Amino acid sequence: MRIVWLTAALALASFTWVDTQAGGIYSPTEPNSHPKTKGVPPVPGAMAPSISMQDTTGLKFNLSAYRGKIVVLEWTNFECPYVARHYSSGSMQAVQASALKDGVVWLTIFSSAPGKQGYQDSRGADYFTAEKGSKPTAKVLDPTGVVGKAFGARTTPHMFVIDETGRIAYAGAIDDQPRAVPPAGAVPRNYVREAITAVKSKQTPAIRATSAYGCSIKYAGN
Amino acid sequence: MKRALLALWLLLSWVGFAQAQVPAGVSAPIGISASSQNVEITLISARAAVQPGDVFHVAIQQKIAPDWHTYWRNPGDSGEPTYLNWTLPEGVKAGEIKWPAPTAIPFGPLVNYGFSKSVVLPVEVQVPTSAKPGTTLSLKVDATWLECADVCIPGEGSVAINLPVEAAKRDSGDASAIQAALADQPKPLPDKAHLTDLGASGLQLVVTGVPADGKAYFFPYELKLGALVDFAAPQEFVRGKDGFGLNLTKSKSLPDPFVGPFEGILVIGEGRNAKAFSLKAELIAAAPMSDTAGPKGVGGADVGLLQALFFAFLGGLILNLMPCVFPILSMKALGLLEASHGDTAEARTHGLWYGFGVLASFLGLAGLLIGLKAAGMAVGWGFQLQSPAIIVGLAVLMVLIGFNLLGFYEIGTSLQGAGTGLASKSGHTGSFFTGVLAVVVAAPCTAPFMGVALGFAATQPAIGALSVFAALGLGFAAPFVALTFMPDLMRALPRPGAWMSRLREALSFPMFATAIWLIWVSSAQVGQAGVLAALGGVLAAGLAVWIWRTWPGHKGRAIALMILVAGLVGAGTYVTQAPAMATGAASSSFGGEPWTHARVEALQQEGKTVFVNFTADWCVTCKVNEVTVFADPAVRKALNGDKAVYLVADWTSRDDVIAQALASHGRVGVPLYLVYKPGVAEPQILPQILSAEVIKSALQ
Repeated sequence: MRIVWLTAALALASFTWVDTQAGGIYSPTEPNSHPKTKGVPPVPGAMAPSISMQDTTGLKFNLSAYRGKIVVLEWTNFECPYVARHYSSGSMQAVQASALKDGVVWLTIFSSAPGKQGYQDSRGADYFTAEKGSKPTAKVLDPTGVVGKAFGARTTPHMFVIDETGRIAYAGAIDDQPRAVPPAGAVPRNYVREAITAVKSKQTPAIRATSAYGCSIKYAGN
Repeated sequence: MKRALLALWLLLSWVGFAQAQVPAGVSAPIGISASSQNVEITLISARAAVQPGDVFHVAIQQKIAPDWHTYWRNPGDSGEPTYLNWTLPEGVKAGEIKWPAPTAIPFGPLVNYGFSKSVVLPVEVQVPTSAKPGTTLSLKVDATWLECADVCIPGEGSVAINLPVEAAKRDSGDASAIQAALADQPKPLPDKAHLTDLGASGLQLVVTGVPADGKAYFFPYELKLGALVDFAAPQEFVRGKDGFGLNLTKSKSLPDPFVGPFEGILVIGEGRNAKAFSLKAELIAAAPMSDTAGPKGVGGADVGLLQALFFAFLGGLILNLMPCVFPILSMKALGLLEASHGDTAEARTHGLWYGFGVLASFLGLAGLLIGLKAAGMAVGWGFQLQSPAIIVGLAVLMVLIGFNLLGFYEIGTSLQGAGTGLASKSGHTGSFFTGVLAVVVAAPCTAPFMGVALGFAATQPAIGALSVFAALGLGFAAPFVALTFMPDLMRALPRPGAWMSRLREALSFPMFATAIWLIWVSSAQVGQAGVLAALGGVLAAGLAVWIWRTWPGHKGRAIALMILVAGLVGAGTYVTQAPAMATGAASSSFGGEPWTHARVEALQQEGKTVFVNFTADWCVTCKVNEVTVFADPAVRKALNGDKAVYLVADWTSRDDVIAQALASHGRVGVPLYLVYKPGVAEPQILPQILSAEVIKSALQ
């Protein structure tokens, strides 16, 4: 009698094991890997959603294609004063340039809906990005806001740093100066630069999450 | 030409920003007022003349254009507060802005904290005792702020005021306006407040000594790093015995570990009667406040612990009658009946072991649920049925039980012979595992009462959730345990005889029916692969049973078990690797577009009434409603009319967005029926047991 009950328990246990192996619902390490999971916005330490996106050349790719590389996501809206501050001072370009030199993948993402501030079609995104001297790996067009909402992106600029294993290493503000015009003499502490440096040397960034500041993202349906 | 157009576009998009960059009043002498595009600031003073050593208030008054706003010290999800940079004569000191309580301003999925129309920001000024009467003090301030409607523009302006120093101070005409602003300032909370960590994502602010009638909102101050709460999350009011609690949602950027104290403004009441208090809350490890007032409405979110325990117990009782559980219990009762002629003590022991088995399984499930939640996963009741492998496994289990009831094989010493082994340990273990098995097979049959109770459990910290699950287990175990404790009742049961084996065989058919239904669910989850895997598993189970009964002895049994396990693992592996179906319930939930938050909002803006059906193929109550109510032509017509739109949120497979939406309405499982009226943010929640009349009147 006992052996039958043990078998039943064993069978259930093996299902759970199979399910975990296949990245099913019991697998806590890959919360977004289930085929039907649309994903809650992840937190630092969690896996970044494996989400597909489209760049200005029309190329469709999945974020997980960049596994093995450090990836920076930058949400932008070129008409937002906070974004303007980081581009007119040259700080965004500088962080980006040093990141690209280190082999980091930099994705600039436009999540404004058509007709709203910050919306760009592929030509506008290419033009204004080049005009600012920004050279991201790809410019991602997200007019439906699907990518933005999967990450819980709230503001422009909102920054994410993803490590080589696909985990979110940093999420939040670009620096510690949540102002459109920082006070004279302020020396901003750039959290993204710090996070990239830490991830490169296989360390957890000292600061993994901050409150992103800036303009709200003008999502569709607001 | 194209390039010229682009250049023009570029120019236009920057004009707004460039204009705001020009400080107001640069060319003219600095006055007491300055404006940006949408905000006019004025520097007012409570004094027309100051005296040496005077302490008084000045204020920056912001007049804000309609639809625009400026921000509080913590701007919320986006934005920036007003900053003041003073230029003062030697010895004169200006303090920080004394912020009035803000209002919460929603913008799409975000919430900001700020001010509309107008706001007065008082600042305390100290005049040194060394100030000489007859001189003039010039107070100058450079202000910067962010003004936003749907777009944001940084504003700045410089304003100044000259105040004569006289022997005796004199109030100005603005004194009353400043006095009124100071009177409106948040007062220190008369009693204490503290914060309690609710685990994964919750935080409760507990306030005592202040009366509140269901309306309160906490505006936390900004933190140096990250934020305390998710600003856009609703703050659920919990009425306690000697105060109240606000259930807050932790911000994703809350530092870990986080240490208090945390400060902020608490606004109690609404509109004119609102009162604002400033508070400083330490983080205290204490039991959270639970609701003592009981249910307040149809929401289901406002259930007290006692009610939840009662509903859970009742739900557990009802579970006994579910088609998938009843045969197992009958089987057990019959076995007991035969076994315990007269030996009531043994019957009791078995009853208790069975009860332990039930309770342990429910607590185990609760622990798993809490653990998964703590791991940051959005899961709810029925989560165990969202995995196709579990569904297939249960289908095979149902068939195996059916074979057993038909007498194709006996387990162990068999139920008939259980009497001889009653005193042995394996008999007790058998009773224990009968309890476990009963819980496993009961899982698909979420009884109606359990929705609310389990929803409540999910919002509770671990101990509350565990007690709700324990109540459920007690209810589930109660009838059978009670039977074993009442010898009279046992005696009232009909005498054992041939009818028992007939009944036992008949009871196998509900098990086969359950298996058919589970196979259908797996087909909705992963399509044909689900059917193939489940039937393959059934084949392996049949083969195992045949070997089991044909070759008795250890060797034959080992082979039978190996075939069974291999079949189950194979079917499970196959089915988990099959791609999920796009939308499973679309065909069975009678039309309807797939649900998204954005779609609901868009339809509401179009002036449509929206009906949302949160359903899953493995949810019996959902299916009953769909067959009996949604199939009704009148209901279908009402749902697909000109004014109403029918949306379906299919939770057959795991979906965190849907899980979150359920949680925001205080539920952890389906079904949930919501009716959104145009212009009303909060939906009406319809009962889980629906009728055509309920739907029709809700859509009116």
